[in-house]
Amino acid sequence: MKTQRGPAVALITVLGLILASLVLDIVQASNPIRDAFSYLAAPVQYGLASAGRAIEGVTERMRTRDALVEENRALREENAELRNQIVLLHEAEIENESLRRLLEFKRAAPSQQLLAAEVIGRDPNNLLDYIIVDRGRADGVGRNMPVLAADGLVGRISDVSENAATVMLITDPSSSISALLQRSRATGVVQGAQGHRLVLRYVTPDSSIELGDIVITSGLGGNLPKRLVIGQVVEVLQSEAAMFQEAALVPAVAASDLERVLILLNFVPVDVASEAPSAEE
Amino acid sequence: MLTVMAVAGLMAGLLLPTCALACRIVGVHPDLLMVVAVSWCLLRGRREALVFAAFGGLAADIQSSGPLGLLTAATIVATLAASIGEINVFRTVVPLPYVTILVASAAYYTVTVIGVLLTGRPLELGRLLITSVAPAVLLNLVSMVPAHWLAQRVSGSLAPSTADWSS
Repeated sequence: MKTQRGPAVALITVLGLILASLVLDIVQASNPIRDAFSYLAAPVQYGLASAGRAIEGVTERMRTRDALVEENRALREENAELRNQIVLLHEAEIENESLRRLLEFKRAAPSQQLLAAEVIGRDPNNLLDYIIVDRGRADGVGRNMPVLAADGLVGRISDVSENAATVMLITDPSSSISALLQRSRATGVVQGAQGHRLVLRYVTPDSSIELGDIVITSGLGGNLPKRLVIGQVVEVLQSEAAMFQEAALVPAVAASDLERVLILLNFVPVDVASEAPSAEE
Repeated sequence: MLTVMAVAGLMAGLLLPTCALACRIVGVHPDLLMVVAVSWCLLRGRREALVFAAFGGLAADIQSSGPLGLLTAATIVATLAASIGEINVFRTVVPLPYVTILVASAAYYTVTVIGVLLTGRPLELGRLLITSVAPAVLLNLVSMVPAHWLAQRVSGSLAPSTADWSS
């Protein structure tokens, strides 16, 4: 039968070692042994400490990373919001400028009853120059009413529904306006032409046309009020054989950039056909 | 599917002209409705594209100051012209959509110009070609790249179109 002496021997050995170390400590002979142990244990301790620091660093970094991700997300959101605010502010600035100019125009002509309208659409057909505005019959808008911008004439109301109206721009080939050269007082007709252009026609050969001349409405025919700016002469098309002079104009209002317009409500266009005396009269 | 195309056409007819205005260059915008109809015709066949074109054209016509039905007719004619390229053998040829859009644009503007002239509006044909038609055709060609890519993705996610063996 085998006796179990192992644990007892181990216990006695440990107790012996403790006793021996105590004796060595009392007689102060333990230092070399401590030094030897330290010498052997130091690299292990250093390694363990480094590993501990590394683990601590990883957890710290993870904690920091999570915070940074969160902070980054918050900053991105804030950035997007600020960008949006900048766009809105810029838009408000443009709108403000546009409204200020319209208001100045309105103040300069207090007798005119002007209604501000937003451009909400354009004709889907590339061959036609029309815009759609957000004011209609409900706002007092009627057919043939003049439509203006701060810089001059835009066009005429060609069709009205309850809450919207279609404006035929002066650059549409169907548009025809009685006009006057501001400097020489020569009269003519401004017609729209393809490519958003204007042409002044039927100016008598003895009239003077110069580059830069301002062309305004003459009021003849009663379709439009007098003295609205139409455009400026950029090219004089004179021919010896032609009965009349012509000139190419640049429109005072760039219709492609229009966002807001003014509708002149208190101008009643004269229907020349109904005013003319009939043959029986 | 044809009902879906009718609704999609109406929606596109209302929305695409507005989108197209954002792409205006020298005062001319691409005819996005027609571009989409042509692209759909190449991908899904004439029937669906014609329904799309008819309803889309009608919605665009409501917003136009031109004669009612002109844009509908023009879009339908352009789609019919595009259906020449619908033949299956050539459907995978890469330049096909771009060649087709040129043919379709020519058909579209032929109808539009005739329609506008018939209403008595004065048009200078020579200048019209340079200032309006040529830039618009070019814009249609450029618009065909994203439009056809998008139409391919949408078409790919739908059930394949049914073949009509009766004709």
